[in-house]
Amino acid sequence: MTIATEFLIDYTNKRIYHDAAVGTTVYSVNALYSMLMDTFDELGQMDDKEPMSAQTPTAYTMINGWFLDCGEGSYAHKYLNGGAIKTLGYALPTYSPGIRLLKMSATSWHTMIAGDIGKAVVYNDGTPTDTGTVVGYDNTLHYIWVRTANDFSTLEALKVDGSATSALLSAGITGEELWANVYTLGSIESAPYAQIYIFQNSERVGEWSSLTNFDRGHIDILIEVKQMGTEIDGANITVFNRQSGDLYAHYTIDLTDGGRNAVPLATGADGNQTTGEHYLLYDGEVAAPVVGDIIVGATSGAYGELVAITDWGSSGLLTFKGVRGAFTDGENLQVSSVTKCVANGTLGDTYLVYDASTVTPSTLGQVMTGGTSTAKRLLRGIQHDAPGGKMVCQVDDSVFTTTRKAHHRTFTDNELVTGATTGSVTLSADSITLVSGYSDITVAFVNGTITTGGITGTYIIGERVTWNTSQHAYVVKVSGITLTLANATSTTINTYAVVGDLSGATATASQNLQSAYYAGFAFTQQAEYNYSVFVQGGSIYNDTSAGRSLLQIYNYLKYITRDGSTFPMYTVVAGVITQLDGQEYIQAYTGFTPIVAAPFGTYAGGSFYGAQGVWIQGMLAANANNVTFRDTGYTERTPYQSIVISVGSLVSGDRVLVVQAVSSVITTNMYTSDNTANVAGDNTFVLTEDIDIDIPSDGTIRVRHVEGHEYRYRYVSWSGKTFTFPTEKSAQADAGGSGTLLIDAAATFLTDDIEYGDIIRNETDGSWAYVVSVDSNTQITTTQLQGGGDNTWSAGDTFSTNTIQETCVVADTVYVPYIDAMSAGTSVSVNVLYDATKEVLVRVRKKGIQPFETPSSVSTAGMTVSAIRTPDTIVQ
Amino acid sequence: MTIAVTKLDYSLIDVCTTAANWTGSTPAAVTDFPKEGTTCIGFTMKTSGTNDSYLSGTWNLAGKHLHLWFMTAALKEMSSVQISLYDGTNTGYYTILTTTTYPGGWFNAVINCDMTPSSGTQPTLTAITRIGIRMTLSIAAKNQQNTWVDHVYTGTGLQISSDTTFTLADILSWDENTTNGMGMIRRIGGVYYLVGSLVFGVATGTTACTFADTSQVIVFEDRPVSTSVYKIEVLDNGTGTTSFTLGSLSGTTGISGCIVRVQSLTQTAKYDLVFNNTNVDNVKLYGSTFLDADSTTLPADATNVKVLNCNFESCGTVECNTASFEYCNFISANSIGAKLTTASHKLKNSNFISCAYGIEITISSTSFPLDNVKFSSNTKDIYYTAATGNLTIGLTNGANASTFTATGTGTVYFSNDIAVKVYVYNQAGAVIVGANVAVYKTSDSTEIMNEATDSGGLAETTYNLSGDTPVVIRIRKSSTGGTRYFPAETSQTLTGNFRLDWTLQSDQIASA
Repeated sequence: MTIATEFLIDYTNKRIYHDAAVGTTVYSVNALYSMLMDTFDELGQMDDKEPMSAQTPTAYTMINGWFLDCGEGSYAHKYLNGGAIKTLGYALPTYSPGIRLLKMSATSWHTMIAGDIGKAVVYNDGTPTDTGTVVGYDNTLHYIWVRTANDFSTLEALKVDGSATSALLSAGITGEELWANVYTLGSIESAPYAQIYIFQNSERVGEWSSLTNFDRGHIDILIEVKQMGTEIDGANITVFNRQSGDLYAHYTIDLTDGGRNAVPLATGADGNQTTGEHYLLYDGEVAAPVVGDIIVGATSGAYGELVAITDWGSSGLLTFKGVRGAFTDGENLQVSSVTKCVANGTLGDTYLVYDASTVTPSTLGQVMTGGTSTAKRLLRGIQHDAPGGKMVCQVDDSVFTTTRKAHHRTFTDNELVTGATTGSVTLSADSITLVSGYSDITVAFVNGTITTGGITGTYIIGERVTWNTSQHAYVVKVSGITLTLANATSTTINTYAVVGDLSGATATASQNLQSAYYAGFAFTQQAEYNYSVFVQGGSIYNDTSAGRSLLQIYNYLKYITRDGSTFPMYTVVAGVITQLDGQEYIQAYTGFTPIVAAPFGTYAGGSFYGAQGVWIQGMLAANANNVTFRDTGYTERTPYQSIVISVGSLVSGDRVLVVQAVSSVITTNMYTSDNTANVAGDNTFVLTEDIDIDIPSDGTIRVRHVEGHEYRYRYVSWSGKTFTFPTEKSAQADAGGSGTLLIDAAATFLTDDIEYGDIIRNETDGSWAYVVSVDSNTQITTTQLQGGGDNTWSAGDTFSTNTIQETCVVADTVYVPYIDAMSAGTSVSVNVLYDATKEVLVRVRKKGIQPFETPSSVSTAGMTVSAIRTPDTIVQ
Repeated sequence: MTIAVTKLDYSLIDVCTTAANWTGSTPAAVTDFPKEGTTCIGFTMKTSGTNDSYLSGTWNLAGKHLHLWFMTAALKEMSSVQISLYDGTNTGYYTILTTTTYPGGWFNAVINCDMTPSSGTQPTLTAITRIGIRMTLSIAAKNQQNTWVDHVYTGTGLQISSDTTFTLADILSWDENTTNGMGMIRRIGGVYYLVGSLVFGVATGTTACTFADTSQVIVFEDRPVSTSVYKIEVLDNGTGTTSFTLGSLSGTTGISGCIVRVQSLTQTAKYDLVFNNTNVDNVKLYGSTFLDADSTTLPADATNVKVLNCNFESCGTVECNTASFEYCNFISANSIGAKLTTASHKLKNSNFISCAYGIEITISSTSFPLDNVKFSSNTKDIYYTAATGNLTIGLTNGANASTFTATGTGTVYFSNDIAVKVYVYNQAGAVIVGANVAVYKTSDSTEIMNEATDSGGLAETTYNLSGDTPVVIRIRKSSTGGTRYFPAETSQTLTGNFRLDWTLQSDQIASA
């Protein structure tokens, strides 16, 4: 075939078109031009004006009214590369007749065929009398291009060659057009090559990947950037190369000037994104695909890169990354148009292996629940080999209540997994979940704030909130009665109750969403800085509040910005929430400096380097130090170093104290009391000095009065010079108490914030004690009351918890242990920020063992001490 | 100026010196105011009704034109004046004047004796015995001499020659001389009036004749004469030079011509212009207008035969022969404006306007030229009368004949052929061989040429041009395997032979 056989000349309708039935070779625009010049210089063509002119070797013009048919049945532009084409002769009334594009309604659309080219288009009822000749059409867009001298401005039904069709949606438009030439260059990952894609005016340009110029790898294509005289989005396009497993690249270019435009792209393998993202079972194996193959669904058109395969013979398990689209159950899976196997189910994120089943869980889509772990997933595929088998499941990320936590649990070996509809199996291994299942990570774009009439309960930062039945957002910050919301589906909130999916907290909005594209977030003990993207690392959906590792978060953030991702990004543009697909996401806010390789941030050496305006919290605690963020002002922000102070080799009930000391002598004068602010009965304690940053965020303080006696108070937070104690519980004792037993029949001690070791005061007789145990809602056991009148919990005595027992003065000193707690397991640890290397004394005591005491130091590595529990054989 | 004048077909009937020749109305010789000789005859026409007076004799007046001078003072009483011819049996009365047509004074009456008499009975013209005057009075006049007659003769005109250049004034002078008293030519208000023909030159012998006059008006009067009498004719004996010139030449333009016309477009007697006699080779008509001539015949082309800037309006056919006609207008010809009998004619740069037929062409030809001869508002431009064969007319320089009538079996083709030549060069100035050159009419895209340039870089054709023709010229050469050029297109207008030199720009963009 030659270009002259594939690109054809319709002299009657002055139309250049392509016939794909003849061939699908991609030719240069120069070749088209050369062919046309060669054709039109023949004597037989001298009576026709030439259709094309060349301005440069890469810039050409359709002239003399010739129409380049880029509509259906031709798509001439797709078969060209190497140069741009503009038109000169379309625009009415400068040229008459010219070309007018008629955008039609889909309703009552008359399906156009190739034979309609050259037929007359008129109004169905004959009025007005506008008439045109069809030179192109598109049945998908419902477009008709006509050669006409008329306006077609009346929005009424038309007819083509006598057949009625739909009505005009808008007046016919006319003007010149421009197909700019774009080609990519640079070093890009080739194993495999990515499908480079283009976004134009927030829409992805459909690739013609069956042709060589827009297939995987570098591209060289013509893009329409001016339609009928109007530039499409200012002739700007963005070219993306975002294949999972690669460092991404993109480039935005203004194609106003047409011509041939180089788009530099540089990608390479991303050593930190190596895991798969999806599982898919298959059967009907013809020939096993191999790792690195691009698997294409013959029916769905979905594709993905095969990164692992487990071949069981005629069936197997495929592990993908970079999936675009959705494979359908039963469709052929092909490599280079050759069928390899058949999809067994659909994509999932979790793989389970079982060795026994009662009834095979055959119903796809049902919820599978682990009998022991209580983990849940949706069943997406099953390969039952009797008695054992394999399943591919998927996190149900449409659930946002506490049930969601179950979808992020791991199924455990040997547990019975039961289908909500049918079947149950017994696992033979723990489940494995891939990146696409990391949806416990929340990515939320700050959209604004609302004030409320007051908050009932406590919102969990990062949880989804709903209002007005179907509207939702994520609450990313609570400041008093003000909520900062992200990913808001609506700005109309006023008067609606905003309910937390996880927490159940509720507040009634007293205003609509006040647009903002950032909110302040702060590292522990640091000032707030503004960020636009809030990433919750999964801790809120984890039973142990352990978030995902930064590597997992990085992988998930790249997953949701990969080629084909439709993950919604609720960016704010000029005060308006503008939703983008993940695949086109570039930066959090207009003007921010993007990170091309990874839009939310890069990962290197175990650390995450956030893009401008990206904030992450709730990640795995051990990773908390390994972040560097840039706030909205592009200033780099890093956390104080977090260290772990841990004492191990414990048993439950061991009392542990880790406290600053010098030469094993406890430093009891770390701080001094404010001279006046600490009055008996107060719920806070104020120091003279600022609190050091390495003081635990919660714990205990010990106040040593100048007389030598001291009190132990529990605090739940601190700031500046002030420790805040737990919520005070104040009431009157009922009858039945004693010196160690407090009875209050109306109390709710179990839900009150009262713990072992909390100070409790008898304000009636002035005595005090520490809580030994909360026995029930109405009873607490304390140490023996002391320092009071009768030192008894008598009926009518007023008591209070977690308040200052004795007014302090500046001469009174204060010290704050790192750990001052009773072990609930084999270790006790606390995360603190590193301040300086400090000498400490470690004590572990419990009746029955000999007291353990050892000096140690807290350094940048934290501190780990294993207690030596030597039995005390003497004690009774 | 002495000119030699021969009275054409002249025969004296009565010189009017003797009253005795006359009978009736009291004839008397009068010497006071003769037109010819020394006397004329006076009459007393006094009776209400007819008053006759006549000469007696024997005359053969068949085919003759009878002239006499007539004058009357009975203006109030006169009703009509007739010439009477009597053969012994029948008398025919030929009206020459009425109350309203008599201008007063001497009137040069003339009748065609062959004409049907106004009243009475046609006599036998070969045996006329009386020639008289009948004057009808409406009322009786005084009994005194009131009417006069002089110089009764037959004749048709004057033949003039002279060695030296003479003018109409010279002829008039001769005529008015009482020695001659012919009345063939008169001048009234600067306009020359003729009642007979003027023949210049002599066909035999060696006599020369040189006539030239400018800016005169010559009117053939509306008289009862034969349709063949009025003419201006040139004779040449081949030895003595006969030169006839109306108007003058300024550069290549004829100016200061004369107006030759009939008195009335409705009069029966037209005039002929006869310039094609043997040996006639010196006829120059410059800037003159001929109104309602009957026929015009020109001699063959010669150095001194030219018709420049003349108008022939409401005329009969002008037989052009090979005489040089330029810048002439043939307007509202009676039937055919001009007649061409040879392709070697010299008619060009002229217009035929509102004629029944513009030009009669009598011969078949494959290449009959019409150079800038333009036709407008004619019923048919060409009247083709050859019995057989086709006629191809080559229209050049804007000639635009387009319609025709053919009386024979052939037909007429119009070939306004011009040469259309396009030379194509490259930027180095070398000719380009094989460049395709197409020429299309702008109006309807009709193809005029679609040729490849030859070894000389030339593409050419001939084109039948019918008026200025805007064209689009396309030049292309972009075939694979050779030097390729950007296509070129230019708008031009064909007005005659056309040449375009065009340089194609090398197309370094198109693939080799």
